[in-house]
Amino acid sequence: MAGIVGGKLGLSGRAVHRPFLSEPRWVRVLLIAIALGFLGFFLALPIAMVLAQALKKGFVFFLGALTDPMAMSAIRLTLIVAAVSVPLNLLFGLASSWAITKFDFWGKKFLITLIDLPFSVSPVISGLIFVLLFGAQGPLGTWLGDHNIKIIFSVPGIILATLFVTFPFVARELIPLMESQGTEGEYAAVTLGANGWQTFWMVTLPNIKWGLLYGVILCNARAMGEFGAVSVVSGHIRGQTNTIPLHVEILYNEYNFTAAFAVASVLMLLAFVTLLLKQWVEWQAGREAVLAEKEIAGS
Amino acid sequence: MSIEIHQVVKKFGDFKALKGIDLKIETGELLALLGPSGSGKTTLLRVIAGMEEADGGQVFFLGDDVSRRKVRERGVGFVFQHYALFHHMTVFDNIAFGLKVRPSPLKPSKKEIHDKVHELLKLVRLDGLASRLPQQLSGGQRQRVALARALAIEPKVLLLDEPFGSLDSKVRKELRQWLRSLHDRLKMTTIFVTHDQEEALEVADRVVVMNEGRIEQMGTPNEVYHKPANAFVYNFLGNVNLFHCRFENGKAYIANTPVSIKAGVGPGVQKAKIYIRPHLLEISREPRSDSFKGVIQFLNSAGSVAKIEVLSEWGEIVQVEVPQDQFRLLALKKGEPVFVMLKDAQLFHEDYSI
Repeated sequence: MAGIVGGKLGLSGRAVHRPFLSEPRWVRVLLIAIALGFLGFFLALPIAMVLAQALKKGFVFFLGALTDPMAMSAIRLTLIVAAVSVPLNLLFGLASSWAITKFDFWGKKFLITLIDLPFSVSPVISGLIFVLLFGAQGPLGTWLGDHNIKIIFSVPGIILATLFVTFPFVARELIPLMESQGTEGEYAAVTLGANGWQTFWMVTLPNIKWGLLYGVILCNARAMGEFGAVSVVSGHIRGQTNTIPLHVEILYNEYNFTAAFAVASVLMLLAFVTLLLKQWVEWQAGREAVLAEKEIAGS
Repeated sequence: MSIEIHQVVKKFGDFKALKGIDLKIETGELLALLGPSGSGKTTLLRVIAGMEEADGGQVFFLGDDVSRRKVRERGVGFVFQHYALFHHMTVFDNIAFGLKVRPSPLKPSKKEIHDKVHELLKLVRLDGLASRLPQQLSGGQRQRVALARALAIEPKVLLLDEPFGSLDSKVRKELRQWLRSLHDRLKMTTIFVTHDQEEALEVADRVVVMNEGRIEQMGTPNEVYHKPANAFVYNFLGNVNLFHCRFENGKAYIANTPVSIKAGVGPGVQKAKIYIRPHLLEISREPRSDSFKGVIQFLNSAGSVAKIEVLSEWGEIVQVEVPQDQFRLLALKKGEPVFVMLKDAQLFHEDYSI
């Protein structure tokens, strides 16, 4: 795990002060000031603004904005979308990285490129793909219409768009991790008589669990916050197909700033929880990476 | 269990890793597959284990064709070069793994597993370390855990891939003697891969020397060392000097120096390559009829023998090894002229270049 998560973990801990490598004092002060100023302006200030705006009309109004039926429905829909798309992407991510790292097959490189596609395509296009595919004019639209199945402008469409946008996260975390671990552990398990299922649960999964969790957290954060792709397929039906980000936009467009920021603060809270979880996972993974490194160093 | 390998071929893309290997391993034999990297020795071991599928040929275990059988059906114990221990499991769980994954009718009880693991821990001299994690062990201890884990499933054959490759030289010497004595006790058919000729010659009953996907020679350590089949084997089994030699009227010359060669030369041969080990050269201060002249370039007497590099009169570096007592008597110094004689040279006609 060292190569993947460990790199950014600050495994090195505190920077060791080495006089001969150090810059003059004014350079250090300037660099730190620039970094902090940038963070303050682009991160701390907006966060403070969101909270200030959200609480501008008092805590009662804040709660009211959150417990509004439309807001509640948006929060519920966002949770449903995440609850469906994250487990599906977990399975997809596991299966694809397993296939890519443990087997050799024709078109492997192409598959790796394909997994990155949602990262390089604008989310709006991702949404449009599904509108074109499943919409009334699309190739599948007529058949779906005849069978009374609604995908675009309803929940299945939102889930599909979210799935598309978030599927690289787990696989992207796992592929380099599993590649660095190689297949020796699995081979060892197989020579000892384990079947595929036992090998996966007893050998592979324990080795990748932190990377997997890290990917799931990132995937979940994106699934809850996705705006562009979901916006295209949602149809913005209040109380039915609005997720939290879409609901925020509607409130904002209606000049209902305080309510918009109140709902936005829910997303912000989710982001904070995600960051905390991420930090914790990195810390755990870092500890194990240190242990694993000791093992390599000792051999 | 006896193993028979018949015309095994393995390709990786365009690269032919094994070019038709025939080999028979007797029950209870300890066999070394020796060769440089890329010679196909590890590939052959993995084909026997079933981790690589051969593109041609068959593998027989006790006369049964197992070529199409999967790894887990072959019942081989495999020890990996980098141990491949499960580092989230304790030593106990590592060794017990093969017993725990058995399907329920064959799965031993908790007590049986416990007894078996402790018996194996005693065998590999690690009793008391059952609850340690692999990262808390030294390299040599990890290697023994890997061995105990492989032995736990009571395999009919034990396969070891460069078993001591990543250990420091003192530990590997200890471990290989221990492996030899363990084999003498268990009498299990064992094949190990190594690129270290000393290791192969010291441990194995029989050595198979491989190069570029082929077997160059197989035989006892004595046979391959003293009767090398070709220049490759001779060269691979120790340091050698190479001389280009020509023949005139039945006499051998290196450059313009006449030398005496014991090996017979066929009629009509005009040129040959002579290989000679550094300790089969003799060094003296006085010229002899069949000696050549040189200048000492380098001396190193730290070791069991003294190593001397001599720049020959035709401009090539020649390595000579002399016993320490003789080295002291000669009292050689860098830059001094000396005379070198060939004691016992190996002559190979075929074209093989180092």
